[in-house]
Amino acid sequence: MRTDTLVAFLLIGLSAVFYKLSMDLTDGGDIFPKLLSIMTAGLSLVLLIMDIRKARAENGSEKESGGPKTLRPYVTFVLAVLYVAAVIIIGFFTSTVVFMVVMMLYLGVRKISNYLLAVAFVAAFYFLLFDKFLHVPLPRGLLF
Amino acid sequence: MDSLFTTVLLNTLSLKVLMVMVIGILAGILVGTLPGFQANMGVALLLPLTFGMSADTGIIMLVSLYAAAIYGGSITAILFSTPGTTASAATAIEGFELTKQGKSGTAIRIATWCSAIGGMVGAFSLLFISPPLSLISLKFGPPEYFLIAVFGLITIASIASGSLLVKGLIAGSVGFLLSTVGLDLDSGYPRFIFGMSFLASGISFVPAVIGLFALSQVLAMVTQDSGSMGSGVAHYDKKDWKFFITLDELRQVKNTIMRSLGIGMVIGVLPGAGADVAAWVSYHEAKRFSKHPEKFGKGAIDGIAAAEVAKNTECGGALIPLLTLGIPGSTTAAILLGALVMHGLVPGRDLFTKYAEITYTIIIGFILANFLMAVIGMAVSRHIAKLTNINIGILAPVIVTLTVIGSYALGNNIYDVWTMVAFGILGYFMKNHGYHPAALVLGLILGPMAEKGFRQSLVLSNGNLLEYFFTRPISVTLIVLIVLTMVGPLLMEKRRQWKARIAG
Repeated sequence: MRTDTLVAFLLIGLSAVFYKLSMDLTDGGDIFPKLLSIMTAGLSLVLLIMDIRKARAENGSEKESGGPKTLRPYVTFVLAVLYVAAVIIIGFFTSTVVFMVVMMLYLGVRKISNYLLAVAFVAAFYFLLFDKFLHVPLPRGLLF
Repeated sequence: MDSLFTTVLLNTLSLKVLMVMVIGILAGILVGTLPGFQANMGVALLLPLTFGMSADTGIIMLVSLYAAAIYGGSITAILFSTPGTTASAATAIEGFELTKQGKSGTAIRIATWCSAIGGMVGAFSLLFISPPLSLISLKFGPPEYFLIAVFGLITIASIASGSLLVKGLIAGSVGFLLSTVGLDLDSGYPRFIFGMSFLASGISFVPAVIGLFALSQVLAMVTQDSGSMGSGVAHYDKKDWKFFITLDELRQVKNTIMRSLGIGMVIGVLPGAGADVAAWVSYHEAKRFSKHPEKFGKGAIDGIAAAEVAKNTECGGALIPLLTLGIPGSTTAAILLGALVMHGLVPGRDLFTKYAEITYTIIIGFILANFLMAVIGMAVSRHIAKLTNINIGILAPVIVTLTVIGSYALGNNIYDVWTMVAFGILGYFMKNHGYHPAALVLGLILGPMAEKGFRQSLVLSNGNLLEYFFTRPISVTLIVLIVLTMVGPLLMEKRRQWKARIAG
């Protein structure tokens, strides 16, 4: 399915959910969300019609558009998700060091000195700024 | 008045403010220098740090970064023909030509001091134009607040998505819809929280901004091959590097400066057009008015001066509608609006009366920051250009960790980090498919104001909303502006097509 068509359907669905849930709201809390649900659905419908017309003009095939044909952004995103999950379990500093090393390996950094310098600088900077200066209670987790 | 002036001056010259200013400027130059990084990403990343600061100190750091990032883009534009930001593309044409002739020092000097002149004049205009303009906001009632929110969103939607206005409007509409998540402030009843208690306080704006502008940018950045972002080494003659712009150079570009100040100011105040538009319009006007247009494209310092003055004047100009009416003229201004709201400052007359001390400290700080930007810029530009050699493989993980710690530090809450991550992938998708995230962010920021204005209007109008809106002069003006903003680009496109058909 073409991307804009998919987006249009998803947003019409989202608008329907918001509209349905708004029906249970009272004291005027329902009016604005209902209005926005209708507006979002209406705009999505316009997008859908425009995309169908475009598809006809292009003979059904979607022209090369959107994201690049590489998995790198998605792998990076998965690594970021794992990193956040690890922050809760093994603590901020340990997970940061592990994440940075894994990510640099994945992105093809070769020099050992780059690893050492980057990790040491980042860990020291965060420790001094957030832990010591701003007193942010960073998650400690099982390790550090 | 005297005591206010003295307090503001003392506030601005305090060590703390000067320090954050320098940090903001250095961060801004760095952000501007690195290709692919925009001012909005820098402001988003620095936003969490301002939480622990007073409102004036925090906002000064952000506006310093804003101005310096707009300027910083020109350093790599001149040295490597790689504009750090889109606003520096015009500078690259003339600047890189001068670099090839061994005159990169001249180009950097002109760019730096012209940026500072533009920035300072823009900031002075903010100081003198904003207070009287803010009087308009005194006439605002609920309908006007609702319409201002809609107008702000539509201006961003229409520039952000170019011809595909509908995608910009969808992004804004979803932003508005997401802003209704959380407790209803009137009834105290939770809305759309799907059983997740952390959503009761609504979707946090700062993690959303960090995700949409910083994490998504990293995801885009890693698609490039690993390696440095710069392209080659600049040729420069050490003798050509002087700290101050010379009187002779100033005399050569003085007319261009005056003209570009006007262009930058007008484009800045008009919501919708950004620094890049100001730079290009000014560059073309300089060429049109030049006695030697043939020199353009071959290293004309007039061209650099025109672009630099206009784009930095635009920064100050864009803050005028932001501070007085709450209308952001650019993506970065939209994030700054969020920062103001986060610090409890609502644009309008109150900023110049009740919170005058804070507001004037910010404005005077902005003037000073533009001057300091030139001093720091001249001192570091030759060296900071080397930073473009930093490997993406190192930079990308560092920024991801910054986005995580930044969104966590806001409320020591891991849910904010998950919010940031979710908006990160959403932002990546949006950018790749023509749905600019700025409209979504603005919807999130302006949503509560729009809803409050709309609901109060409903009550005050006794059910006859249309009559209520159309009998108020400011409301009618705003409605006309909204319609023009939406229809204008479409009509211009039709006219262009019609002209092309006639010519063809």
